[in-house]
Amino acid sequence: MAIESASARLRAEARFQEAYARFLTDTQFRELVLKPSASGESVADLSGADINRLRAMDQDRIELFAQCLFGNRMAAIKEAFPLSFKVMGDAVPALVRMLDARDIAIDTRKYAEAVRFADFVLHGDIAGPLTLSDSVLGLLRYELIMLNLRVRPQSPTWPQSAVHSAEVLRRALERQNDAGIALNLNHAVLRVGFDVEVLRDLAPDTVSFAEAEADTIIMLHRDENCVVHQKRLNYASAAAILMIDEARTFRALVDGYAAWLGRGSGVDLEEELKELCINLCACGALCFMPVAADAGEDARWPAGDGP
Amino acid sequence: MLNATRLTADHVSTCRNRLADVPFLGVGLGYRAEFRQDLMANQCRVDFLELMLEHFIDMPPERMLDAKLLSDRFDIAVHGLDLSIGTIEPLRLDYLARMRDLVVATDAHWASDHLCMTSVPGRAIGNLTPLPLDRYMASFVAEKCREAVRFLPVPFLLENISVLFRPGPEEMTEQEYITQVLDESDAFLLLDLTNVFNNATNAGFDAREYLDSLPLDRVVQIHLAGGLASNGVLLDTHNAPVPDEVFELLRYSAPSMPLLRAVMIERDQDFPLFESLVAELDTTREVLCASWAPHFAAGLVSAPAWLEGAARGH
Repeated sequence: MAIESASARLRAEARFQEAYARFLTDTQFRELVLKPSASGESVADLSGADINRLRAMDQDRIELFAQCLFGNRMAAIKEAFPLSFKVMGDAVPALVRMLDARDIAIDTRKYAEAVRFADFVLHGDIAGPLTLSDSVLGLLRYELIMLNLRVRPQSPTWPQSAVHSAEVLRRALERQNDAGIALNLNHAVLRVGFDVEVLRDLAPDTVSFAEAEADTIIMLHRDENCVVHQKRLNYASAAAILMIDEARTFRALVDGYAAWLGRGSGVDLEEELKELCINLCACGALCFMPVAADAGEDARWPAGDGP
Repeated sequence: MLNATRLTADHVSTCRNRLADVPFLGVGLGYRAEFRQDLMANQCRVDFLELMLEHFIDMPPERMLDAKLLSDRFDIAVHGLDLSIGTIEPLRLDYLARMRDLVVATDAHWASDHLCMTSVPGRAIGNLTPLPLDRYMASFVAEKCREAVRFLPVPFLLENISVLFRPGPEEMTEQEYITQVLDESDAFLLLDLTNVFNNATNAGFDAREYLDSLPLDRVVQIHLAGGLASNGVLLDTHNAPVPDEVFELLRYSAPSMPLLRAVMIERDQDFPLFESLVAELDTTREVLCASWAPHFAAGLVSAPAWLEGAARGH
């Protein structure tokens, strides 16, 4: 076969494959192709031969294939967001259909499908009977962040200069110096409208989730073994953690936190924050870095990409 | 690119020699995290594991560590879902590189994917999708397959898929298509007997006649599974025990598979008690002892204990 005609044939087949893939995954496109049309009429820029190839396939089996794809998408959403799936119930398939009506999926693999669904529910301006409460949206946001920490973590987790020992902070404070502090980049502090542990324990056929509703603040982070942990926080701890990124050093954190509380930065406050920071360090959510005055002294502490 | 020639006898011989170093792995499971704990407690009852590439790539680093840990305890084969070798586009070398990484990390004996398409540029279908049975396109697929074979450090296998429909033109039978792709490349066959059974039932052809016209002498691995029926149509859902009819197909076809190295049971959902899965492995072993071992077990350099009796009996 001449090279030119071989290449033309490949191009034609590639165009058919694009139409074939769309035909299987896009209901509206499928309906358009199957709609009776006048002979020779072009449908969606397809050639007559390609239209005939698509129409000649067993349409009942195509429909079954599409149902299987839909089932796979439901399973992907359930696997990624089990608690939200439980609470949202029958709304999930309805929301997926609403999403499809607005924007056809072009990647129906598990992770992509789950994230696309969550993005739509969280940011899709859903009105009418499928409108979800803030607590359900908070729960979905929590599970989306959990998924991303698990599957798509930030890398690296720590600044290059990180030192992973609470001893850095203790020694610096003993010498009346300061210590740099940095949160694990793979972390999130968020508000969830449910007690997730109670929700997890509720039977799958539970109708009312009122007993699991509770305003909670949760910190998620990946530890040194790359496992995602969650820690329930009170408001004061959450506020302190949210200030860490801006403060950058322990003493700046104490000052900022004191200002937020509207009081002076006394010994008690310093001890309270020291305990919080050391706990966060112990669970892999925070690390310390020597500041200039302590850098030489602390050079023996190992530094690296992660604890 | 498409001037593919049939492999010479020497080339086929080289290809088979390459497989000669690969041990007989036995009867194993597709690894799923859901039964990890039971698996670890019953290591001696599972001969090997097949690791699904998608469970380990684009995942946190601990997944790769877990794969290495599994490979310390089991022989490994690597199986991909998304190479989409039938798509008219260049071979996905990025995907294949990840397959190679998992093969190297786990010291896997071979790698496999499906003879189908799963995506086109800009659109992922999300399922294994049948290709038209076209001689010219079969050569195109074979060329991509040859490239994959050259890229990987271990033998490469292609698996037949479950077919609910197929776009025309149908210039050849599926068996001829598979034969052409394998003949024009150095790849081997991963034969999914459940897909053969489902396709035969759904399309109304004879599964044994179908098997008779497949290149069974290229089969290195077999997949067995069970699935759902929807309105009388069998689906490849991997959520039920292997049907007796599929074991019968194994019994029928195994004596024609001199290169067979492994048989595996796939279970992806509705997991039963682990003991039930192990019972299915034992049934598979019984079928192999009765049908495959009398012909080929004596030629094995090493064999699992359950096969040694059958080999000696011969």
